[in-house]
Amino acid sequence: MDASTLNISSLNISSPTISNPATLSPTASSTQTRRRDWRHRYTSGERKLAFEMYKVGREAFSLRQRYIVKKRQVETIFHRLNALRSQHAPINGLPVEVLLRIFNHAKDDLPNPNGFQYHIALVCKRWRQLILEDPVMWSSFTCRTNDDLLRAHPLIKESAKNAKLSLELEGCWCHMSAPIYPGWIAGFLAAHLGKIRRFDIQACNLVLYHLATVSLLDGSPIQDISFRIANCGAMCDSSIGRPIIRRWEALRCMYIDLEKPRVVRVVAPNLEQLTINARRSSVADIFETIRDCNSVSDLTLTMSDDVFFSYWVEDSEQKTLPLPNLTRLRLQDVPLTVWEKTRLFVMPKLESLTVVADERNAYQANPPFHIVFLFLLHCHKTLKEVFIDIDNLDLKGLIMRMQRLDDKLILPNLEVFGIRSQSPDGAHARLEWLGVQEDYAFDAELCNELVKLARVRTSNSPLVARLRAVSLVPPPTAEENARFTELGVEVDHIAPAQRRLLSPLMYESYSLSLSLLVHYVTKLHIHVAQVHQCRAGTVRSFDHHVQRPANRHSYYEAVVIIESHTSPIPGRTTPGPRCRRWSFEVVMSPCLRHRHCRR
Amino acid sequence: MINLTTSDNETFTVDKKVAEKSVLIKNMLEDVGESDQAIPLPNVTASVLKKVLEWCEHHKDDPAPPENEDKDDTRKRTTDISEWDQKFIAVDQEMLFEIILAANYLDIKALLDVGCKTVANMIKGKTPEEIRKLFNIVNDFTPEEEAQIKKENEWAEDR
Repeated sequence: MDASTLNISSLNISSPTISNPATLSPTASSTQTRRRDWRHRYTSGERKLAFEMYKVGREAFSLRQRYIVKKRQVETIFHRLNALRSQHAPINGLPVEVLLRIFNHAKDDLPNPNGFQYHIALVCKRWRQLILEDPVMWSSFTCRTNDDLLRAHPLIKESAKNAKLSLELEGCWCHMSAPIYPGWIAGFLAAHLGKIRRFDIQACNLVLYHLATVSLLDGSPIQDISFRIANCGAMCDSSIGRPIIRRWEALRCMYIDLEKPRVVRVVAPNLEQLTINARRSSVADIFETIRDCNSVSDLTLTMSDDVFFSYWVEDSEQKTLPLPNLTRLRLQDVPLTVWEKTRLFVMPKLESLTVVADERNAYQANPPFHIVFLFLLHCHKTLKEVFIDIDNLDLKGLIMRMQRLDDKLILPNLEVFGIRSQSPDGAHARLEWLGVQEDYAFDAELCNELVKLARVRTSNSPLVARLRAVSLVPPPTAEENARFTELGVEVDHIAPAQRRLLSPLMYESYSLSLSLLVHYVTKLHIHVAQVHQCRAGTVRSFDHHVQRPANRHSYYEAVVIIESHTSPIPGRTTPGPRCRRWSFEVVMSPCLRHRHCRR
Repeated sequence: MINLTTSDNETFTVDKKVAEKSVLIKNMLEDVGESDQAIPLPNVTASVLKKVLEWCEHHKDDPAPPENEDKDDTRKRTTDISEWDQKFIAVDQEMLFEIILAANYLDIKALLDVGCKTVANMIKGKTPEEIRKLFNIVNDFTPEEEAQIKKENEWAEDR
């Protein structure tokens, strides 16, 4: 019988006296009456059986006790062995700081109970210990509901300890179906304010107004803040005029996506990076917001929608806007009313300018050529990088005028000049080049202008000593190529690989560009990154071989590879792939490098 | 040119600019000054150093990373790795960990990040059992401990 299943009581001997053999003996010291009763109840055979059972049972109990002890010893030894084996795994040979660095790269925002932190803590004891003892692993939070806030609270208190927190509140926060009161958020912030360094809130005006009234964030140590308006219908009044914060010394980075930027009136003397997506705002509102942050070095101004309507209230004031530390400026879809005011910007250190405009995004967003040219002229001396992506821009006129101003070249410090979404990431920081990317016919005049521009910059002219090469996509025709060669300019200096970043919304328009490009590439690598909540089989890796045109050389072929990385994020229910970013790598044909290309 | 001697006594001659991608070597050169003597690297084997130098050669013109990297940086980190680095780091696990250890020892932060991001990408989205299988880690929790952890996680889910 198995020791573990042996149970003497299962033999149904109910009398407690029977279990003791002493009481079974007829010589036991008991009264005569009892002896008579006892003999009356049990036969001698039954007495023998009971005695035998008692003996065997006692032995079995003893064995079971020893078995349990031994079993525990074996388990202890095996666990010790497992612990040693676990430590012996190659990955556990990495130092603690390296393991934590790895975990930090992969950590999820909490309080998601399926977060990376919880999975890692279940792998082995060493990892569990590292995870639990590292407050940084418990320092990023994304809360969308009231429950999330409740879950986050103990984690921040117990696990995050004194780590600097990154807190993201996403949602309307006042919707009837998921009621949460602004006071809760205020209370939550108050409890942890001293530790928060990054704060990203998407909320309706009601919540923002509450935060404004309590002035909770005034003077807080938050360095990076993001305010985004939530579209929650007519419940919330958008005509709130009180500023949230008056003065904010610690702030270094701010993103504002609001209907009225003046709602968030921030005076941040140490602000470095400012991004404003202003909707339904007047120029005066925007200028006032920027004016309060004149230490900013990186400014992005976007007006993504609704400028079609008459929200633009002109201000007659012509005060200049001093931006003494500004080095990077990005203007995206800003209407003409703002362009006209940009001449009021005083930017003595501006080095990089990016202009993106698409009339499909915003009404009157595409500035005419002369506006852009005048703006370049306005800040020409210090500019090193210019990227222009404007639909229907007079490209030829711009390039030609770039070097003709009283017979002198403008943009004397230019290192990089890109037209049509030439990403700064795609160009090497020290590869000074002029990139022209458009379905554009390079006539003789423009070709010569480009060559002159490149030649002058190749020489030791103090004005334009840096620019060395011209890159043209599509590549020059044989005729153009010959002209470049004749003038002694390297035109096959085409960037060997260009990465492009675009949103899925742009895919259709980009396909057209690709169709122009594919005949000149040997390999086209399309890499789809960060696909959210991708249903199985929605995006697959596949190769698409473009048919070689009949009149092309044999080496003109293209390969399109689409890869997907699927990592479903719990809580996101958007069906289908949501691609945040697509990157395209175009590798040019080697034939281009040998000047054998034909068009 | 700088000479570097590995733990298995192989000597590599590299350009100073390439070698100085390693903060350790850079500091040694600054302290000792330039000489013909080889710099000993007792924690790095020849096969690993060859790979590390290949990376340094390719990235020799990259701008230096910011020195005051905040350990408690709360901004979201990216696990994107460049195309070239992805191809470079596509090695077996043993070599991957050797490269990470070498980068850590030689103090090449960018290479260390590439290695760590690669491992992070391998871990991301996997269950604990899959992670154990991937890295040959033995489960050293007792059944009681596992039950306790599950109980804790239940708390997290229920709240």
